[in-house]
Amino acid sequence: MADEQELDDATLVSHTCEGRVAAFAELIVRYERVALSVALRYCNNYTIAEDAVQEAFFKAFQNIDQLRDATRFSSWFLRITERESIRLQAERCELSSIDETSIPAGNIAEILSAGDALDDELAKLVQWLGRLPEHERKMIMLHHLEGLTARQISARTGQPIGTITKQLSRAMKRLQGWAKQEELIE
Amino acid sequence: MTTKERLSKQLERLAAELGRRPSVVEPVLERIANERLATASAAAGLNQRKWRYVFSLAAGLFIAVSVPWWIPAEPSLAFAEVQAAIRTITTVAGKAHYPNAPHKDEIGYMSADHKTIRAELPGGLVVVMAPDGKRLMLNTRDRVAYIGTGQPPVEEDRVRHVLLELSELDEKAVRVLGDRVVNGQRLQGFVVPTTYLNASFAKLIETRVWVDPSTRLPVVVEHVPVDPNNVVAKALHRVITYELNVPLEDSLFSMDPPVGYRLVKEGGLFPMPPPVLPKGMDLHSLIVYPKKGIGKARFGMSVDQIYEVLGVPDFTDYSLESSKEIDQLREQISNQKGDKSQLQKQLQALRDSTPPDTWWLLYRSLGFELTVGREGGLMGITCYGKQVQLSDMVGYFVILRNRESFWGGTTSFVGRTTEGITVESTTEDIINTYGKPTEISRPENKDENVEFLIYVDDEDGRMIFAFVSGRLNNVVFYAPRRGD
Repeated sequence: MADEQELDDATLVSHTCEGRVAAFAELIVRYERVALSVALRYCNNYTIAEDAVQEAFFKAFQNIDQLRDATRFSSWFLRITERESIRLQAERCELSSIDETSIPAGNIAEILSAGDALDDELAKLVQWLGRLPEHERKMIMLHHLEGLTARQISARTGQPIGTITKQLSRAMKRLQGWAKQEELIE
Repeated sequence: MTTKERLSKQLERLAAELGRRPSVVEPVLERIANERLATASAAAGLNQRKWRYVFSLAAGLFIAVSVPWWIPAEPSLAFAEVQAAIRTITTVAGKAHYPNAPHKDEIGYMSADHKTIRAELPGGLVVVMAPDGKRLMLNTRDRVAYIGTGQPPVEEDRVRHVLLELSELDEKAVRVLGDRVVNGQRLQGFVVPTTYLNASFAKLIETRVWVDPSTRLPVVVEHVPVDPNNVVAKALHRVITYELNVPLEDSLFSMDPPVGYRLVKEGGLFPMPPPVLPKGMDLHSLIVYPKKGIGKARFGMSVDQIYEVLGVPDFTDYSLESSKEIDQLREQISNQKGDKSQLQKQLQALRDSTPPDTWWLLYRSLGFELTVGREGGLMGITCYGKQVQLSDMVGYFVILRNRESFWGGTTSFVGRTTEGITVESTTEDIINTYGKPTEISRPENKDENVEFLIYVDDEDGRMIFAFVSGRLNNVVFYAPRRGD
């Protein structure tokens, strides 16, 4: 367990490809909360969002040998999560014919009624996170949701610490701008 | 607060919210395992057992993050064989870990002659109990030793006691769980009745016993929440890892104080080591709001709600609703009518099935205790000062509950009231802050060093301040009465 925790994503992907399930379990532990926050952008309902996350991990495991650049696991996996979230919630709402790209995230939240959900402020925050550029979103999530330091993110993703801190700073500025505009937390 | 700070708070709240959700590790791994098993058996004729081992090994590695995992398998061992093996145990060494309250972790030992018990308890307290009733207590932080007598309560003998209970279970109530591989060792699992808790709590916890088939002895006993989101059950979550029949150093069971320790003999005051502060405890929770509550806990809150906002107490105690049957049995036992041991068993069974009426949640590490009624919720807050033995000395209601000396090891309350009253405040401070008390009294034993200032206002609640030598030592805040 301790060994797996110290490995970077790319090595864990490589070990998973060799059939080492413990390596994939470590990837789940690393990304399940981030994935849940992504899923909640599309499903403002924990039941569906958690199912989507499970489905995404399962599909990622089945297709992991198709991931050409192992260092890009998180981006690749979070895209799968987005797709599964959209698909599952549409399926549950009997909207199977809907075009993925045409679904405005906010409306989907309104469609769903069953199950517990994020409160309005957190739902809005999740939407803002979704609007961030992909690389900045990933940094914000790893830092704020997973509680990793810049050094730990660097060890995990292989990116220089300076780049990580810049991306975090830019992401926070964007979020602050949206927060002010929306007057939600002012 | 700036926008950035508010945003950071929101992100923290989101992280906490997501962190409370159940992990998907187990269902995903289970699905992968099932998929592979199906594929393997259908297509390649692979050995299913091999796959089971691969996946159970992977899952076994996740014990540290408390993810339960097992692979169904045919039982090769009957629980009666495990019970028989437990009865032949020579030595016990076991570590109890509380994943959601690690400040409560402890270690227990039993000597080869089955007679001497050693418990290494939170905060640096070590207790060695000899069969003649003699007890050695060590405050390892301050290097003070105490030698006295007294019956060892179960609380100091938890690790061994779990094994004793397993050996006495009715085998019919046990079901086979399956296999699990940990560190290359295959363990066979059983689900057994949860007997160490009152029935009201026992239903919250599933007890799993993992046995090494070669020795037939338990390696791990887990007390796992049935509902992973139930805060009370989470607090009870415990994993005990055993090493049985291994040689143990004689020095572990020595009744002689270690070299360099100051010795306190029976009758003297043994300074209990202050408990360990739980990690991440929010110190703002230590503000008392008279008539309202403490920290985020409010009068009227249920036990679950208090756990949610204040965290897990170091110790929980409760009293049971009284009933005619219990009273009758007690009377029969005291009058020695009938088979005493049979009556005691009946009484225990009745107590186990009776719901708690009042709880005491003791935050020893923070110096306060909460009294919670089943109906009315949080109804009292008691803050403790330096004189922890005060309760034995004065014989006055809530403050004076008869407390085992071990439980009395409570750190001095480090918080304050909203008006700035702390332990060590003077009587003048209290009168200047809250006005003239309804009553000023002294304890029944007429100890002139002890004085109470009592404020009674049934609409606004009661406050009782207890002073020792003019300094505030204990204080109790009661909930205001509800409109009746």
